[in-house]
Amino acid sequence: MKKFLAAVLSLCIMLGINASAYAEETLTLTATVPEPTYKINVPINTFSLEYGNTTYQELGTLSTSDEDFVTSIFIMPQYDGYLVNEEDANDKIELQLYDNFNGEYKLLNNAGKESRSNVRPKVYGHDPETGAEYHQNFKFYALVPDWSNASLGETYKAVITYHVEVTSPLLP
Amino acid sequence: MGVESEKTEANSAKKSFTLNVILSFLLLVAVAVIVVLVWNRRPSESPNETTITEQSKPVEKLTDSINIPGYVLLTFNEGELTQDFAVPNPEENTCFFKISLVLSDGIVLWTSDMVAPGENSGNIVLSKTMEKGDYPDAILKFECFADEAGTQALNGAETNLTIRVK
Repeated sequence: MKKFLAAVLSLCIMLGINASAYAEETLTLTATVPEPTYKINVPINTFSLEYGNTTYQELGTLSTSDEDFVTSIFIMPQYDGYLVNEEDANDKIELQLYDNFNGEYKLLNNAGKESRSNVRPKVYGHDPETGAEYHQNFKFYALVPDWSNASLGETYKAVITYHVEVTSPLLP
Repeated sequence: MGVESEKTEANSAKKSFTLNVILSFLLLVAVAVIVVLVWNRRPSESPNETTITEQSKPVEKLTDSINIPGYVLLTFNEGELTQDFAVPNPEENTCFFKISLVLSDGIVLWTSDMVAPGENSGNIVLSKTMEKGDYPDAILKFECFADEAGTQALNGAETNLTIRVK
């Protein structure tokens, strides 16, 4: 009888251990991840430019998608005007960025307020007459006017931050 | 005397039998509970199976561009540091995000840890509590990196938004 009782008590103790173990496993942390109001797609990288090439070289395309409660989206590239040697931050080459609208290149001046471009391409909007939405993919180009200061065999890099401004009926 | 002794033995045997039945019942209940617990443990493995299934769905990775989520309006609770809002790094990306929330006067309200593709920042924990009102022209800044250590910077973005504190 005692052995039998001991077996039952052991089982009860095991149950207690199991119960506490399961209690620990059920601890979860939650975070709400709301759906974005819109998405933008930007070129990932530092870009490769052909050494010695002083013509406009395409860098990539900006686009938007999945707009919800958005009236218009403007994107302004921010850059510091230089390609910088990865090994030596003092070794710089002048860099200019341009957009191209109807075949005409326009300098994205980086000397404006907070280093933002003076050009403010509208990449998403609505037709004022019909109200129909439209997307205007924004292509932009790099120009290195003078390669003579570049050190052969070195890698130069520039990081661009795209400043996005949105108008929306949700905003006051 | 002999009759009484027989009665006592009979009662004792009856009690012992009853106790055995009760203990057997308890033992059966205990075994049943263990079986149920072990059985219930199996579904806890199924999320992994689900995850594997989800991972096996082909997600087209972006090798030459970055998808960045944009928000027009963030609603926060007054007087609370932890806000129930997390910023995702879309699964299709290949880069890591470091995300900051900055007020129009330059005050940094929050900076995330490095966020891997397919994960989120976890709840935003503000550097200070906020009073009721609208805070226009705030910026959600996305710094992008090729590596988790944050040594190889990629292009990034900053999106303007309004913070509404209720």
